[in-house]
Amino acid sequence: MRRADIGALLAFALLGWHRAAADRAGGLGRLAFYWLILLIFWALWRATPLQELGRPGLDAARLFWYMAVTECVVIAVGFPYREIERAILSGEIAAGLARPLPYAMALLAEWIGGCCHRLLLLGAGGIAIGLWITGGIAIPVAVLPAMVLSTTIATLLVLLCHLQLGYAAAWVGSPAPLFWIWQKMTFVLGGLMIPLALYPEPFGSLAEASPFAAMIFAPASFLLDASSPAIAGTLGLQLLWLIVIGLMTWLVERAAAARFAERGI
Amino acid sequence: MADITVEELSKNFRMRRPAANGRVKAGALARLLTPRPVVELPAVSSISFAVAAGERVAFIGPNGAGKSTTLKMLTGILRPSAGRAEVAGYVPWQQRRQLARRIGIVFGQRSQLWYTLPVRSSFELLRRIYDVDRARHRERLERLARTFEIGGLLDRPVSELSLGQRIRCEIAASLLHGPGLLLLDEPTIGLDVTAKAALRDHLGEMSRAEGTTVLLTSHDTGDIETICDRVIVIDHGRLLLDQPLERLRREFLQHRAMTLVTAEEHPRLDIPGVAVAAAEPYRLSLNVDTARMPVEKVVAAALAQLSLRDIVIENPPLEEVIKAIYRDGIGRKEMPHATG
Repeated sequence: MRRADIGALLAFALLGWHRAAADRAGGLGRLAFYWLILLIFWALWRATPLQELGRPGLDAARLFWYMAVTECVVIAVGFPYREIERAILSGEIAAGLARPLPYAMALLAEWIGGCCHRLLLLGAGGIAIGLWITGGIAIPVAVLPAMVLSTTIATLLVLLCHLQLGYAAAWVGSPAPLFWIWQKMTFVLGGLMIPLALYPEPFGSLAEASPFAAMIFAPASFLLDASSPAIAGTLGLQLLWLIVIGLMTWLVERAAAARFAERGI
Repeated sequence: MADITVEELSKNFRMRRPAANGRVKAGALARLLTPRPVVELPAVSSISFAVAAGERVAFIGPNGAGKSTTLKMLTGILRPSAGRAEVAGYVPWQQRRQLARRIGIVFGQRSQLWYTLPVRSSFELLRRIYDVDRARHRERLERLARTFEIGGLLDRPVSELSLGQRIRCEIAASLLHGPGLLLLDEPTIGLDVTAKAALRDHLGEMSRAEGTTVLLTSHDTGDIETICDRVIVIDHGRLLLDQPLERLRREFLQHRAMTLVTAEEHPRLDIPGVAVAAAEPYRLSLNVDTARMPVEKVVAAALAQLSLRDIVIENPPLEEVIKAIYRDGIGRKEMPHATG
């Protein structure tokens, strides 16, 4: 990749940021939905006899902050795969493929820019409502840098999956069924609402080793175990999945481009 | 030196033949599981031509003739089934990205601009993609804004532009990085008469001033006459004709369809070289042979003899031109490069 290409990708990331900032209604809608989900589950956790789980320290406040992190990633990302689906089905992707900058890279950069804006908005909104409801932050300050890094990797992993889902339109027309399967797997095996540590064995361990945990559970897991080995292990596994899913995305993009070249757009 | 060289280029699309109703009697599931035979549909069949630097060539044919497929192969987004091509020194489907920096492309119905952004911001993104330095970009933008009369549109979002305005911006966008070769796929499709005329003028002016090589696909004979000096006609994936515009004009484009709307209920007109194709109350449809009688003389005579309310002058439809080429059987013997 040329230096100029990196400059162009930064321009796309900036475009994504500006677009997210300009979409005020969308941003406020996401924030309202995020708050609603958190409030509902806050009420649910308070009504649940959590002490019966036999996990000391796992109270309603900690579960609230856990979910504030997992939901933040999911809601910040949204459904970007639809953009590629639309571009493929309408043929607009032809213009993108005829440029010197890889289409997928440009799109990913734009998505990252947009997600950065939304993560900041939702993060600030989550902290505000969390402080108001629980009266404090259950995240140790020393863990924050690792949590930010983990959230970034998690978001990147989810975006790479969306790239693959979008490109699936080259084969299946509408990737919506694939998206629903992937999303449900992410919610269940990623521990969106309930920490994977509460899953019965061996499902808990299997889910934790899956890529879905690296997308959702990983950054929130620091609220349950903030020890250095746990943080290092989680980040290491995330990086491993980033390499694997990055490679898969590259292969899917190449296969789609080959299919377009063979069958037309 | 040739900017484009195409030799024996072919493209076949492989498709599964639709299952015939009732062919499989064991029901829908069995029909679904029965493999359908793959058929090859030829879109482009062994075409050859070359375009020299600075030439302006129209690549024309009716819908489904293979124009866009050829153009996509020349941009590298489609791989041919057979044959060779070189564009600006690159093999398109092997060196797509390197080639992209040397050419400009406009897909008439597919936008390369960002719908929600102001035109200027789209241009700035393209500047970053093509790595054009700021000073050169500013100079190019000023020049293109003048040529295509888009200065007043630069700060408007693409979504607010009319089709004609958008296409002018699309073409300017494709020229921002100063390509030596411009590939245009149906740039005037969907435009009204005025917008078409303006676009043709701008394109012709730009290509002459900058010496840009132009390969333009169209199924509108009007595009050819204003912009190009050579015409390649394609039909059913095969080259029918490759000859200078002057010759095509002389042989196939000398007729014009003219409709006169008159104040007289039963208009009558008698001009040598002009045939009355249809006469209706308050309306005369004429077929004008411009080799025998120039259009302006017909208009003058009509104004003198009738009380006119409206005049419509149209080029012969491309389908008529192609019919005439087939009828005269001159296509293949006129083509220096054609082998298909």
